[in-house]
Amino acid sequence: MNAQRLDIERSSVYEYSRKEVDPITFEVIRHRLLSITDEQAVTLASVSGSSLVNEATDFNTGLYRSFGEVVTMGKTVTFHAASLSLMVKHVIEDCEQSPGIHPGDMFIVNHPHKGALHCPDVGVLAPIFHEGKRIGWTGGCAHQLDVGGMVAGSFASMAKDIRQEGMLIPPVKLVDRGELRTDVLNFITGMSRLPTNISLDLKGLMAANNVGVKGLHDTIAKYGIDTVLTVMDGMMELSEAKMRKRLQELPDGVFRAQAFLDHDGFQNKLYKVHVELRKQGDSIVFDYTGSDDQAPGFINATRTGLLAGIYAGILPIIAYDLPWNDGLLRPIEVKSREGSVVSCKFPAPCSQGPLGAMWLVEVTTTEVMSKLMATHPKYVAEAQAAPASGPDLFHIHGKNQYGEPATAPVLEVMLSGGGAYQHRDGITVSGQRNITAGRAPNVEATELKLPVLYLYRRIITDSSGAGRNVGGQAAGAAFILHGVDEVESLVACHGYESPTSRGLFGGYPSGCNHRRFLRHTNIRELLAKGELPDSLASLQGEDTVFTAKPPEFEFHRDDVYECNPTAGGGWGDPLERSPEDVAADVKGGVFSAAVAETIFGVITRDDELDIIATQARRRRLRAQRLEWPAAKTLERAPLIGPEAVVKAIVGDVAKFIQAGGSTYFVCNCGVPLAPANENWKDYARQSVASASDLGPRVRLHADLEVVRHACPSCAKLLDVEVRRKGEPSLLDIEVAS
Amino acid sequence: MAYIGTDIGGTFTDLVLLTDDGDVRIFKALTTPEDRTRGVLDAMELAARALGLSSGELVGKLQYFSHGTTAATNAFIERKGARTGLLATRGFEDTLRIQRAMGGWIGMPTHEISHFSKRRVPVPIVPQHLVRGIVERVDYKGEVIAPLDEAQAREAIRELLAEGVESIAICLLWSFRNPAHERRLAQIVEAEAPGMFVTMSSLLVPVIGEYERTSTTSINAYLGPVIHRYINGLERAVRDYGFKGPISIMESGGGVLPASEAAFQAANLLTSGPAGGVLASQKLGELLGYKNILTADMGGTSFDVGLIVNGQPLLETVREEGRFHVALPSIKVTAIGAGGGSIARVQDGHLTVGPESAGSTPGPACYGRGGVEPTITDADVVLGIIDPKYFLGGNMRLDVEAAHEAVRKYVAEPLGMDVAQAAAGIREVANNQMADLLRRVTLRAGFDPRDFVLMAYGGAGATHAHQYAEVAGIATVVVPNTGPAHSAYGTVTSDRHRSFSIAFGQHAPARFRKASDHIDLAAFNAGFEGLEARAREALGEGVTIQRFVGMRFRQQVHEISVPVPEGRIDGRQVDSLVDAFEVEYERIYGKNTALRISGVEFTVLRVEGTSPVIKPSARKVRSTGHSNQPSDRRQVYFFGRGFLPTQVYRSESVGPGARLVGPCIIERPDTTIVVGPGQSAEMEPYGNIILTIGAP
Repeated sequence: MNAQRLDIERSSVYEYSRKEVDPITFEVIRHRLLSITDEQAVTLASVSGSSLVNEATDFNTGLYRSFGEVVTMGKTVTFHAASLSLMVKHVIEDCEQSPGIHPGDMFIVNHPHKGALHCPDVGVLAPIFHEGKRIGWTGGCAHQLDVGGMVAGSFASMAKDIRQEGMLIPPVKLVDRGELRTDVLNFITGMSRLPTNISLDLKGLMAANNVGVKGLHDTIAKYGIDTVLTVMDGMMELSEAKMRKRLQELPDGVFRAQAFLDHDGFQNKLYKVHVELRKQGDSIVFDYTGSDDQAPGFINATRTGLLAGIYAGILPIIAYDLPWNDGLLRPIEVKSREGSVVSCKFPAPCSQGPLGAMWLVEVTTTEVMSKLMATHPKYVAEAQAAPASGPDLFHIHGKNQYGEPATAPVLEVMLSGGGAYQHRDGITVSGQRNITAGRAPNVEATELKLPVLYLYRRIITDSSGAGRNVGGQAAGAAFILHGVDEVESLVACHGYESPTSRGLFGGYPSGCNHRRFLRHTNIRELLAKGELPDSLASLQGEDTVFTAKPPEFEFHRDDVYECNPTAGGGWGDPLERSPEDVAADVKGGVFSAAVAETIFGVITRDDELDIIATQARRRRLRAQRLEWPAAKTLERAPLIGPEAVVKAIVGDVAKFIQAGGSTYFVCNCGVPLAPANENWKDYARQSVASASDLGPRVRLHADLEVVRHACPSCAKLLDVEVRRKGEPSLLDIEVAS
Repeated sequence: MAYIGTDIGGTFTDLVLLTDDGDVRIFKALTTPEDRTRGVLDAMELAARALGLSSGELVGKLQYFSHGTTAATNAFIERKGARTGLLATRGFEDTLRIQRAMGGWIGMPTHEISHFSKRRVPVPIVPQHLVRGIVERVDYKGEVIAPLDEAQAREAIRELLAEGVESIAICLLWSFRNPAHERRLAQIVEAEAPGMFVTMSSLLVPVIGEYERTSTTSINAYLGPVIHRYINGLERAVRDYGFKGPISIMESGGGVLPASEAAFQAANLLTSGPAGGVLASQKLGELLGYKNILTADMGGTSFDVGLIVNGQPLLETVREEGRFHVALPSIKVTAIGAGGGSIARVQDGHLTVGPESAGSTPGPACYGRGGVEPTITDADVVLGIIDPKYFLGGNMRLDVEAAHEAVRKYVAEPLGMDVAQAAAGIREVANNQMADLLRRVTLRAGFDPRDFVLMAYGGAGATHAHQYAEVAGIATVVVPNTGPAHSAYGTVTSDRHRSFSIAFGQHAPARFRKASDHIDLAAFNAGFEGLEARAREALGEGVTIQRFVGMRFRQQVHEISVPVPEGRIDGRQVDSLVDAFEVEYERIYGKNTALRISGVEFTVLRVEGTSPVIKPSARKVRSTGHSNQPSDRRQVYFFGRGFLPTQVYRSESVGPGARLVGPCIIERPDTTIVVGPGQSAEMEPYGNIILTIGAP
């Protein structure tokens, strides 16, 4: 996955002779390198002490080879691994000649066109030398609470230029041959609103690098340079070989997915993120050239962001049991168009990119990768519906209840739901998928340091995507100010009027990001009476209509804010979920009785299943689907005899079957739908769904429509598609005949 | 007079008998899972018989009876606790299910966490339909925002009673700052259902963080009735023999509890087994003069590491257990899946060992119980380290051929090595993993492993210590003679212990000059006085009290317990607490990491009370009558060296002062101690073996 072709001087790099390393020594060194990486993460978290690093684990550390190839990475935010790798390349490119790269040096970078995802992600990298030649790098990157710029917290929805968003640090030498450059440190911390916090995180990153450098030197002292480098390269080769072997097992084909990002900070415009995955033999191409042009606002991803999104998308699906390193990326080629929303051009703003376009890169990569995995019975269990796709940032800036300055996000965004799988429901309150092992703060922890009082924090009914297996639910919250009279607030999300947590194979999308802001409520009167409502239902106040990305607003003591995040997409036709399970969902508050009836066709009365009415309702819904129109019908249906060959499966809904010299898309009911060389959706029964058909929590942007595709024979729902009005259905899967 | 410590493990129930002459004797009976008390009585019978007494006669001489049990752990892991209801603040009924978004991965082995399709949420402790939201609200200062709606609360409690709950957990927001609402709820429960088992979060675990507090409180309520029945059964059985002395139960925080307290502290019993081993090591360290100790317990499935610093076991304030969290201070034990049963596999030409384990069934291939894949124990057998005729003192014959075959087929052939090389490779990989863990545990706590001695116990601990200690840079390894029943030894030697804490929650703000300008001294002192009174009430006037304050920098997450001197604290002393905190912070997290400028929080006041239990002083081993001669000599394979002729000693023929030079092996019925080439072993006067590793 070469980002850019960089002209890198090779003579400064240590040339070693490849050694035969016995498998025992190999395993011992491999374990040691992982242990060093783990120590680096612990060191950074310890020194930093910040909650973004310690609890949201919004950082990564690792060991890299001479040109930034990832040898080991931490199990924290996966986005950062790709980022660090590119930072190394840019440090070499910018600093090799001047000021030079020497033993004991460390470099700092946060420039989004030099490897960072956005300005708040600050990386510190240290070269590792042996006998005066470079053998590798170690580095870490951590999200900072503030890196200056026009808005506290450095997410600037009004920025038109990256230079307004925060300080921009190209590769700069921070430590010179072991000596910290205090002038540079002061220069950088002086541009932040929170200089002590950034200073601690930088200390943590430097300490983590020291652990990495020392750990690698100790290992070399014990096993010898050639052995250690052989193992480092061998680890990547091993992952590459396993990845290629796995790809080879999967059928060749083309897979497409798209998602629509709503609102660019200025206008409520849609931006399409489109991917075409082309898989051939043992390699794949992720082609994002079909994505829309870059936006004037801060939602753009840089090329680094694109790579990071792809990285985060594929790892848990295809590399669930493989060591995560550069080897996994070697079979992958990435194409994009400079100036598009997924590869923006300097100086386009991009501070919200990681939560914006880049997030949808992860989501779309997850979808095409899932569809690829779902072509093979051995791997279909690894395919997943979309996870919650797009956090709603909520940032507070002002004084806290102790009169101290407070600039911090409220981390309710962690409480999202996971996508459904073929064999299970999505995980309720799974946390974000790209944070391998994240944690949300306690309500008490937030109330202790920020001037807020929660009215509730609970799991949200109807938040997740319907399906045979349903998506995981999200938890939401509402709060008021407590101990202060006002703060400034910033909210920003996508997936507000665009269902981006898509279901798979007939599964429904989850609800959209939902927020309410009630102004001038009677909350203080209620409090004076000793009453604290646990929902907004009993409150009187003015509903403020927000766009997905409104300008900063003032939050006053009589106002109430509510946020309910998106959740996981569903898997399979909701009419195939067992009525007993749906009744249990209603009883357990997963879905309302209304959704059970309209989407699942399950009738409950007082939480009890009415099976007779349910059967009748489901028959009626299926019959209705068969009355939907289809654009085309198969003129001459082929005979699927015993000699027919299954070329690939399509999850658990259909198969590509070769019969009588041609290949067809055949529903699992046994009826062929379409020739494989055409879009099967043209042959399906189609119905445009209104937002309310999709549940009470879905909103649709004026330019979007949702189309349901069902089998013309058995009425099974095969796909629930989100598309731009006026555009044809996406041909989502083509398998080579 | 006699003193008994018992410990119930998965396979064996161990009993350690101390007598006034300083003798230490170990007995083992099979664990009886259907009624664990029987196994304890069986072990007592064995002990009595060995002394030529009846059980009744032994009990007649008994001064003290102490017990460690996995009953709480088993009931929790198998979710066989009481039907428990939970009362929470209305609007926050889902706290346990939300689980701070950790439900998908918490408690899963590291290698499974990245396998997303296999993630699962934990089986709940309290099902959602047994949770009731109570109308009330307290804020961060402990001020009442909404008063308790007693009528609504009573109705909710009646609903739970109608659902047939046997136990009720109460955890409200900010109750650790103001426990009034929780106390009132407990009174209402008592009025509605007298005698109902109730756990209040503000009493059991008064710390910030509603998820961890709710989890701990719910687990305690869930296990309380189970532990109550269990301890009653055990106590009755022991009393039936006529025992009138004190009965103690091992807990996980650093000592033993009076039996009558155990049910109320049920969540504290969860990791008492590993804690017992660490405490035994602490007591042994006191005897031998070691203050800084790494403990390494290697059994069949895992390798558990604990840390004793300056004579005190390292504690952790929150730990994961059964996929939920327990926020009670407990002895910190870190484990990886490396034990005698860990399986070695080759995939694509690469060798891995563990974390999968063959456990005890089917167990290693050499057990002959159907295991086919090679394990660490199989490698030990193939290499001549374990004598197949002397495993468990000869009580279990091992199948050398099966071990050989397993290593040959699954490791040697795929790697193109001979069987001995392959087996040595399995050991090398496993021992290095264990060394990596030893390093990580010590470095994370801010220490250097080279400053520690290591105590190796568990069936396989001493078999591998010569190598993992060497790799980790440790110079001295102690193999305790109580190793076969180390936890049971811990239960009988540990002091009575209780920990009490209250939330304090005051702070010195950013850019403060003196902390004493901001901290309410009267409240600070009153807080400690109250805690000390509780400790004296629980443990008697003779209690030894240590006081701590939890401190952290504002805006930061790391909290440190800082010792507080005794007596009334004045302003100058409060200021020096900040200095002490800063010094300790920088020792752990590195120079210049302290962030005094952002302010300092005094979060929690804690009192640790201990009162010694009566026990005889240890006696030195007779130093005559030992031949100090090897019983055998065989070829043993050492990694990188090949087969070396190796002297084999039986432990009974080795006496104090004997100095044995490696390579050699000392066989004990419970374990095989390996002394590597260039190392030496010595028996110190109390009968423990000391290995000198030397520089690697």
